[in-house]
Amino acid sequence: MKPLLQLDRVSVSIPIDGDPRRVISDVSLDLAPGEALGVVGESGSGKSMTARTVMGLLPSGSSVAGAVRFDGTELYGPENQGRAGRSRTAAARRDIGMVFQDARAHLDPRQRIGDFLVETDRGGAARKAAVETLDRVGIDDAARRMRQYPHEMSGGMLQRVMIASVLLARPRLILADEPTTALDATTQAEVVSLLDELRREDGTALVFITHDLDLAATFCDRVAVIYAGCLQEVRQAELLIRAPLHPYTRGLLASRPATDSRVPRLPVVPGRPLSAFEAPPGCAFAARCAHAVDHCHQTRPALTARQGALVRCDRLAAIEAAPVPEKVNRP
Amino acid sequence: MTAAPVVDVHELRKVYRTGTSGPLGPRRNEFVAVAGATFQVAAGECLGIVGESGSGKSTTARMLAGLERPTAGTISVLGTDRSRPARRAAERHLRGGQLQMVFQDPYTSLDPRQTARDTIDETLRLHTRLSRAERADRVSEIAASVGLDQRQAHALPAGLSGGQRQRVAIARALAADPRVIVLDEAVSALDVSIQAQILNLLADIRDATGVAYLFITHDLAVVRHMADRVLVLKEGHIVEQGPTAKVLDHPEHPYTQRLRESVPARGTP
Repeated sequence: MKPLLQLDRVSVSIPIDGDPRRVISDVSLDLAPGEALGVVGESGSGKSMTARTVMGLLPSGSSVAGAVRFDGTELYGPENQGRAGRSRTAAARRDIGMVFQDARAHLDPRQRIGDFLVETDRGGAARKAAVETLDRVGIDDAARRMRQYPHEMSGGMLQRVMIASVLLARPRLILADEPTTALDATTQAEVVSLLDELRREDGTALVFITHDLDLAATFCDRVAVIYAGCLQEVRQAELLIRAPLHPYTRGLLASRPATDSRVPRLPVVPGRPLSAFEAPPGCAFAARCAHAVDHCHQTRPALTARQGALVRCDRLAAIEAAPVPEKVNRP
Repeated sequence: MTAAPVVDVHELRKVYRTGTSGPLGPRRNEFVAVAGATFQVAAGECLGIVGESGSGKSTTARMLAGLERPTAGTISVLGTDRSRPARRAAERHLRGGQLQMVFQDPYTSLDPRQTARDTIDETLRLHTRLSRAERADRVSEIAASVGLDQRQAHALPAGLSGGQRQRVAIARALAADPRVIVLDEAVSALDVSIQAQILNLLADIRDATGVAYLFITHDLAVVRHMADRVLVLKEGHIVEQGPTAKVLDHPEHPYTQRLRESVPARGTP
């Protein structure tokens, strides 16, 4: 099937303190219509920037290399200069909806929920659709809620309103950037399963951006692990969790405590996460990797197909032959 | 618990009064943040407090540290009552030497103008009678014990990452040589790989010093890893408490069951 979203060797630099700083390095990803992809990374990994690149929300002065295609339309490149080009990309992006982490920050506190949802079109049909959609996202007494202001609603409720506003535009792709991170655990579980259920009903594709590998794996088809702006491993979600290949994925999974068992000591990944512009020329993860050899510090590995996954590591054969215990690192 | 508890909290209550004036004259609203909590922490124990926003877990922590005044009930730490604000500096110092606190946000809980070494040294000056030279040695010792290298020890908070800042905050707490440390969501804002490092560090410190922790978090996996016992707070009420494995594996209260079910289980999508 033709991919709905395609990132082809995308690199992005944004201005930080006046200097262009690399935030995404050579990211290639395909997303099929209706597919759910989790993008998992730590701070500075470039996971949010990936979504912002697709959505056209990069700060001014940013530069994008490589190709971003949505439904066959190039979103960057020379043909998008000028008014005609801009209106063409804007039209393509109308089929993409975005849900952010902090719903409250994206709502006007002086605007009623109903006015936010129907915005320009004040006809009865739009209002009816808004009420139906609020009902669909599990908001009781939707007609009354339409008259309320954001401050009268809880964080979880507002995130439902945001999801409703995205669904109303009937998108073909939803980008969700840490949509449940600020919510309580019980609310998070409700909002995530709601998003998943509605997306499946409508056949909408989803890119779910999160720091929580377990959460992404529970409802995404595939998960991409990103480190220092670079994809490290892309794989079917269940396999990624059960048999991670890349040392970074292994490290992330091992260092997260479990709710149903306890280990005497957590295996740790030493050091701290790097941003793309801080990463050395070789493998971005080499400095923190227990398996790294000289080669890793000098040559950046390519994203290679292996066991049904895409993995960026040249040491996989050696690791599998003689797994080094990853529990020896002390902080 | 055979020995006397290091923290003894009895029927602790905190009620916030919010006066509003409406068309019908002034109206009095009451918000019960903590509704009669009773619990103990034994010497060297790690007691986990879990709950969601509005459960009263941070208010409880702040009352223990003397940052909020209880409406009713008693708090006693190492046998000394601290239900009321300290009246003299000497009493405040005594309390600070008994119990220290580490906050969630390492970006706002440190003085931006103070290096890690100065931060630790200030606490030593307040809580010990060491000479300047002795303090310098002790600062190096504490900085090393929390994994800060030379450069980091001399850096201002702005020059440190979130994980490193949290190490400074932990070092500051340790400098007072307390018997209890209250950790209020102390690892919640950290990246997964850094969180594991700090959890191991906290475990090492407890092994080495025998300090007790009151570990406040919304994260059941973290509490499972750290706490000997756990109490579950909901809307100011303790709904369940007991050994961590028992409460999490066989939760009795429906709310604890719901919390437990909300955590994505690994490998079972």
